[in-house]
Amino acid sequence: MDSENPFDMATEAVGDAAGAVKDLGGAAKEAATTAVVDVDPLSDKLAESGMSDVPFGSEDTPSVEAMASYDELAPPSYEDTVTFDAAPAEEETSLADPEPVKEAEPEMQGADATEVKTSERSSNFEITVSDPMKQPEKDSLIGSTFVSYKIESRTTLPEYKRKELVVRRRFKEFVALADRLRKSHRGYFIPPRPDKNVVEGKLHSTEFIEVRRVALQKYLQKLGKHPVLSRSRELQLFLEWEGDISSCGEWKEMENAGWKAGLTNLPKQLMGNESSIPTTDEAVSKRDGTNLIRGFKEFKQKFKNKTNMDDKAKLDMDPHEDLVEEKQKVKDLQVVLAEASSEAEFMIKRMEKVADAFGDFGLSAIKTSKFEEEEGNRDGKYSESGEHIREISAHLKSTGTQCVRMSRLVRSATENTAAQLSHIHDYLGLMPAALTALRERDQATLTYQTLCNEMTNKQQQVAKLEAKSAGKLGGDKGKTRKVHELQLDIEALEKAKKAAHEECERIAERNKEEVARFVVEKKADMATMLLGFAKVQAALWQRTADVWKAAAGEEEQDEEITTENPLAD
Amino acid sequence: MAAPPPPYDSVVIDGQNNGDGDETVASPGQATSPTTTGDLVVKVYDPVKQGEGIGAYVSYRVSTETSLPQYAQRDVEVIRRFRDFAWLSKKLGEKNPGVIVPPLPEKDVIQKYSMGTDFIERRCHALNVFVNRLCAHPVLKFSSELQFFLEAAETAWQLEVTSASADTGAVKKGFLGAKKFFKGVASSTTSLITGKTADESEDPEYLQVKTYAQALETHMGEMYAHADKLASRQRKLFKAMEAFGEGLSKLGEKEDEGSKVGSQFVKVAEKLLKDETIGGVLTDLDLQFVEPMKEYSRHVKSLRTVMSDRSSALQRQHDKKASVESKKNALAKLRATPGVKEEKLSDAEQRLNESTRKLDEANDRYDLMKERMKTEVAAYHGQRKTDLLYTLEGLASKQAALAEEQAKQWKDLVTALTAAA
Repeated sequence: MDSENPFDMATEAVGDAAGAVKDLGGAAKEAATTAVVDVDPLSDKLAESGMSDVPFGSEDTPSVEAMASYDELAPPSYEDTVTFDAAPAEEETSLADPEPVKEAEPEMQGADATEVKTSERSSNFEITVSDPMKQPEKDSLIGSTFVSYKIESRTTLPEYKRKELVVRRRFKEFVALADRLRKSHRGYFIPPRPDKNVVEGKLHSTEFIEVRRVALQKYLQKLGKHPVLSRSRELQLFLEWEGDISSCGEWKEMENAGWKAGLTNLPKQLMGNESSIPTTDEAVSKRDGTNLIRGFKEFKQKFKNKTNMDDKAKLDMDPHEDLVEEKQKVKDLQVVLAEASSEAEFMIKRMEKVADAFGDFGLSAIKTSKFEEEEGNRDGKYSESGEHIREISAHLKSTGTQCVRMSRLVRSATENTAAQLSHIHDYLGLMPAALTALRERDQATLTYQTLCNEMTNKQQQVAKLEAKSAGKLGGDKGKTRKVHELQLDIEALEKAKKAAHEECERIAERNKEEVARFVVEKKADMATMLLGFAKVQAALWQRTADVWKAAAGEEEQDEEITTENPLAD
Repeated sequence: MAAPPPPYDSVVIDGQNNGDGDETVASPGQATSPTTTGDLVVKVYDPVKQGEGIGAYVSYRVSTETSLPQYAQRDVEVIRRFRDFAWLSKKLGEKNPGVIVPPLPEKDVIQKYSMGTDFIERRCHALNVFVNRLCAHPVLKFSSELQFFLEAAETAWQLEVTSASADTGAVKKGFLGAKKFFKGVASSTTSLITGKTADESEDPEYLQVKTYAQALETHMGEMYAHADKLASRQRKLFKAMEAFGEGLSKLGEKEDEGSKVGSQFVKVAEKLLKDETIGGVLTDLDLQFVEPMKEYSRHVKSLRTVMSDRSSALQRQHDKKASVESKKNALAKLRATPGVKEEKLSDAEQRLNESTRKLDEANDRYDLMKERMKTEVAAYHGQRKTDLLYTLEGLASKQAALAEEQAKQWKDLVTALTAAA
């Protein structure tokens, strides 16, 4: 069916799952960092109940590690895992020993990453984040430390001089990257970066660092998959600049995006409460907290918009009805995704609990079996009771063993299901990014409207002044000067208005691009998810049937359980 | 029917192995319907809640088909309630020392008040198992108490049962209380006179079996608890899958109308939501797997009860022995005393005779128990084996059938999804 190795797909997706899903059961988390099959919590339980010490039948006493070779108890083998392939022939050639999870990306394609295939998303990069190291903070009096991460990337993009890169960055710098991208790529759906907020004490715990490492890797990989963001200068510097990135001039300048000198720079004037005319750069820049005046003005404008206009008027003013609709769609989708996400999580937790229950029952059956066997042997080989008891022991052992196998099967299916359903969580995570991108347009529009109003204001002021001075003999020197200043302002505003309008349109364009891309990708991802989910279920039930049929068969033959593949024929 | 253990009067210790019988027929422990084609076939069914509030109880129909000559009719049906079964159980225990009387379901006072349908169904099922086990037992099957229970008309029944409880009425508590206390104390009491625990004079082989039974109860209890957990968690999982199906359905609505992926959402959601077979399977799992495990666990208690009865009987025997000894001494002393009155002597002789008679009784009873238990224990294991095998095999085959069905459905779905793609 799939030409890809199903384990790779599953394990790659599992890597995704760990980052995106917060509270998923431990099994899924483990799977992200270890091989899918090796996790067998049952061996701990077996050890706990002292089973590893007591010989089963005439076997030599194994250690817990050697449980895997224990004949009586089928070790976790690929039989006990749930893979997609239903056809036995394929299974024989597929992995008996699945490779450990590679966090690397699937094959890279050419620079043209805008084309999206149904289930594979091409990336321009292979990126890994690894090797967290504690380093001392420079110039710190109290010797505080921070954690840096090694970032290795491989790319075929032409703008990169070297194709293999290794740098070290700290979390603060990831944040800086995200901020810069936000400013310079308004309107794109920018994947959200990993969270900042961390309790002080947790900052250096190994577990937390590992979780963060995985999240950072996922983040960079997502950027790498974005057709536009992956080509950004910001990302390039981040991945390429050797050494401390704060010493990179270009990088530093990006912090003040939109404030670069270049175009007109008007003297600021105080006019009552208003104090500044926005420069053209400012007009096209994203409003951030630093320009309070602008913020205040735009807020006033927004308020005015809300109170003065009804919806139709708003729409008339808004040439992009489709984008307005889109925003609402995103909001609605977010609600539905959130529900589906929590239901998926809940279902997976319940699956895990069933796996546990199978394991517990199986172990108690095996324990009882051994207990009965002792009694059955003690009771005298030829006593009637003894025979009955020994038979009971044999059947309990068989059932117990099958239940232990079921436990492993269900656990494996849980992991794979979580991996398949991770798409839901991923898209949920993308919703805020989409909303932000769509809101950027609103912001830009607001800026534009504010500028329009300013200009209108000033024009009115000019008209008033001219009317006044018309009545005076010889003119009014003061007023003439004022009018002149106003004219200059109006000119600058005209330019700023134009730039703001262009920015609006640019953002609108990007929005549309992204929406189209989003729709296509989501279709493909959802289709993949549904198919993958169904496949895991099918495989799980098939294996389950095999386990139970083997149990029935064995009870008749009174054979011991071997590790033979029941599907091999 | 599980082959009956050999009748107790023909017991040979390392007896013939004729306990394996026909294993393909349902064992009494699984009975949800009459199990045996035989001379006594009984079914407990149709539980109906009667009355309201505190006086409420559940009535059960008990129908009998028999060819046994001692029964008045071939077919008879009566209505009984839980306390009637309890009466039967108690009487059988009293009248048949050394016999392992099958366990009754618990009294479970609290659940009784809520009287959910589930609880009532399960109890009916358990009572059916109880009665069927009686009918499969070579001794209990022919007991008059059982016959009375099965065929007595309402008035006659009420008369007997209420008079029985009235008799012991006020005395009952005191007597039963003492009896219980005595029972509980029996196995750990050191005889005041001999300084030994009664059990120490027991056959060491038997004592080993006693220890085994105690440990077995723990094991079976554990297994039952885990079985119950497994069934309930499976139920919860399927509920969660249904809820997820609804979520998928809503998510699918967000896709374009008539789109391929939209229809794929619908297909998967439907599979999760409209699976009707699962409900039946889960109920099956409860009745055919969890309930039996519970009953097996309780059955061990019945075995232990008999063992503790035996300890009591042994203790009683010791006490009577001691009593006879002391009376003999007393008599001898009197005889040796000059000028003793005739009355006194004859009194003492009478007391001695009385004590001796009681000792004989105690000896007989103990010996009877000992003898019976040989076969009872073997039969118990045989029955247990048959029951357990049946349950486990049933579990495996039912799970296999369910799994195959589900596998087919999901595979079909995969095909449908792939085709639509």
